[in-house]
Amino acid sequence: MSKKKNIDKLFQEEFKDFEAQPPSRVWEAIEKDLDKNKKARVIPFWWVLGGVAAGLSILLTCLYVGMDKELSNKQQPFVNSERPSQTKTTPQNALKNNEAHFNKGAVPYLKKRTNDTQLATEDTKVGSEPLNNLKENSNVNTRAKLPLKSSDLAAEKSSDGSYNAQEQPKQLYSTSKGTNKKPLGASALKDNFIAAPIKEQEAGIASSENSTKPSIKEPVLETPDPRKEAVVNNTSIDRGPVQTVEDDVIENAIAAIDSTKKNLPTLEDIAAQEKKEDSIKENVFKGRWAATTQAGPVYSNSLSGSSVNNEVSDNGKNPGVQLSYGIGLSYELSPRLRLRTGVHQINMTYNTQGINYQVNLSIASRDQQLDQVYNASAVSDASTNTSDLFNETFETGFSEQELVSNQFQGIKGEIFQQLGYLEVPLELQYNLINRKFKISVLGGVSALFLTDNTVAVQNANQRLELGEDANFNDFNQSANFGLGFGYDFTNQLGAFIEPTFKYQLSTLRNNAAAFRPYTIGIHSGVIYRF
Amino acid sequence: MPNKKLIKLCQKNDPKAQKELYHAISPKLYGSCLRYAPNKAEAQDILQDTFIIIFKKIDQFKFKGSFEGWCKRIAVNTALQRFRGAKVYDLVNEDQLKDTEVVEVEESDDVPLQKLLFMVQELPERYRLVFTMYVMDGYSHKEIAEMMKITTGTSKSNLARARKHLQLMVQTWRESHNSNAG
Repeated sequence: MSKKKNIDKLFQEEFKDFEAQPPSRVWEAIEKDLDKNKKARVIPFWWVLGGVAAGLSILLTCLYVGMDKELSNKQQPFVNSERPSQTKTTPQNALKNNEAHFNKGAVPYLKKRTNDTQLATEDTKVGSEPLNNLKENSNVNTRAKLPLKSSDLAAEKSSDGSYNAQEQPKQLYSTSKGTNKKPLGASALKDNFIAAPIKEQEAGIASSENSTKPSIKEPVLETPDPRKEAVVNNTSIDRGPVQTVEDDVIENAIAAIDSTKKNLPTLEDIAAQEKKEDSIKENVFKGRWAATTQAGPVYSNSLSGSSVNNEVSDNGKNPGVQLSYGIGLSYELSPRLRLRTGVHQINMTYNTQGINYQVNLSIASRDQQLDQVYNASAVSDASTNTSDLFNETFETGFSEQELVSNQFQGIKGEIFQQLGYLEVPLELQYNLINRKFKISVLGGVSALFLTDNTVAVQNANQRLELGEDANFNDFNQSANFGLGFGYDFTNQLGAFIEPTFKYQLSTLRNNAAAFRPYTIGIHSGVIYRF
Repeated sequence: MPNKKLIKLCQKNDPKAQKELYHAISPKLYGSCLRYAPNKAEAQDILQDTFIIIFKKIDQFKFKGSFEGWCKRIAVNTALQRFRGAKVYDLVNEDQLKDTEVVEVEESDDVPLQKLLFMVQELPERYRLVFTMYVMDGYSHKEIAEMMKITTGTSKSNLARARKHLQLMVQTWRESHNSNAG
C-alpha cells in the first residue's frame, strides 16, 4: 500500500533548488538591448508631453506672478527728459503701406495613409497583441507569443472541460462532444501522459487540443529570427481553433478573450508598445539628414507690458502679422528624435495705440531741418494728456510748419515698432506618431540677431519715422515650443505644418515696462531627407 | 550569489560585470521563469525582460536584503505583468471552491522533474501563476490577490483548481506510464 503525499509537498520538494541554463541567445538579446540603451535612450512620449506641460505651466505661472507685480508697479511718475536735438525735417508724405503680409499658403494637408506596407505590418502586430510584453528586442521567439496564447486558451477550455467533466458529467459531455472535428489519431503525436485517459473520457476535446498545440509549439524553439513570420502566423494560427469550433462554451470563451483584449492598456503597456515599435525601427535605423524650407505667418504680440515705457503699457496694442521664411537642417538622433537648426528671417511689429509723442522744438527753426531722434520717454498716454496746448487738429495731420510751430507739443497717434531678426534655432523634435503621418512636439531655443529696427509715430493719415529704438538688444533669445504635423509623400520627401509659440528673452536692454514679447507662427514647408 | 563588488560594478554599467552577474544568477531566475511561463519561449522572454529591468534599476538596489530576492521579485512581477489580464474560463463560479481541501497523490518519486514542470506549464494561466506563487514561492493569498489584482477568494479557488488539475495530470501520467511499462 503506497503512501499518500500532499501535492504541494511533491512540487515544493522537486522544485526546491530548481535551476536551468537559459540558451545563449537570451544573453545576446540582453546585451544588444544594453548596448542600444547606452547609445541613445528613447524617451517615452508621455515624459516629453509631461515635460512640455510642466514647462508651459511654469512659464504661465511665472507670467501670472509677473503680471501681478507689474500691476503694482504701474503708477510710476512719467518724467519727460528733454534732450536738445538738431532738427531736420523728414518728408511727411512717407506713408507706407502698413498692411501685413499674410501667407495664405499654409493649408493643412491631412491625408489618409495609404500603401505603407512596412507600417501596416507593424499595425497588425501591435493591434493584435495589445497587452503583450515589455520586450525591447523581440528576437527571441516573438512567434511564440500569440499563437501560444490563443492555443493555450483553447487548451484551457479542453482541459478544463475534461477535468470538470468528472464533476459535472452531463453538462460537459453534451457540450464537448460536438467540438471534435479533427481525427483522433492526432493525439498520438504528443508525448503525454494526459492524452490517453482524456481519449477515453473526452476524445474529442483531447484531440483538438493535441492537433493544435504541437504544430504551434514545436517550431517555436527553433525559429531564430521570426519577426516577419510572426505577423503572418499570428493571424492564421490565431483564428484556427476559433473557426473550427462552434460550441457555445468556446464562443463564450472567445467573447471573454475579446473583452480581455479590449481592456484599457496601462501606461506600461503603452510603453511596451512604443518600445517595441522603436526597437523594430531602430534595427533599420540610420541617422539621416534632412533639409527643410519653410514659410508662414508670424503673429507678434506681448503678453504684458510695453516696449516703449511704463506710461503706455496699458494702451491698446495692435499685434502684427508678418511673413517669416527660412531654411533648416536637421539630423535624426533616433527614429523619433530629431535635432534641427536653420536660418530664418522673421519680422515682428508692435503697435502701441493712443499715445502722444512729445516733440521738443525748442531749438528748431524754420531754417533747420527737423532731425527727430526717437526717445521713448517722449511717449505718453494720450488719454491722460489734458494739456490745452494739444491741438486736436494734429490728430489727423501734421505738417512741417505745424511741427516747428511753438504751439505744437506732441503728435497723437500710435507708436509703430518694426523689428527684423535673423533667427537661428536649435530645437529637438520628438515624434509622438512616427508613421507616414507624423505628429510631433518640439522645443528648443533660438538665437535672434537684430537686422532691422524701425520706429515711427503714425496716425490715420501721416507717419513720422523716428529712426531706431536703441533699447532693443542686437542679440537676444527665445524659448520655443511647438507642435508639428507632417506627412511623408515618399521616403525622402514630406511636408509639414508647425504651429509654434516662441517666447522672447532679454529683448530690451532696459525692460522697465515688463515687456514680454512672444510670437505665434504657423510655419509650413517641405522636408527632404538624404 | 553575486558579491557586493560585482553589483557595484553593474551599477556603473560595466559590461563585463553585467555578463558575470547574468551568468551567476540566470540559472536560478530561469528556473523561476519556467514555472511562471507556459513554455520555454515565454520563459526566455520573461528572463530577458527581467534582466533588462535588473540592469536598468540596479542602481536602486541599496544592499538592504538579498540581491537574489530582489531579482526574483522583479522576475515575478515581470511574469505577472506579462500575463496580467489573463483570464481563466470556468464553467462554475470560481469562488465555489475552497483551498482547504487536501489534495494528495501517491507518494513516489517516479515522475521526472521535467514532467512536473511540464504539468505546471500546462495549467491554465492564472492557476499556474497562483500555484507557483503560493506553493513554490511562498506568497500568501493576500499578496497574490494584490499582485494579480484579484480577490483572495479567487486566489484560493484558483489554487484549489490548480491542485486538482495537477493531481489529475500526475495520476494520468502514472497510469499511462505504468500501462506502457506493463
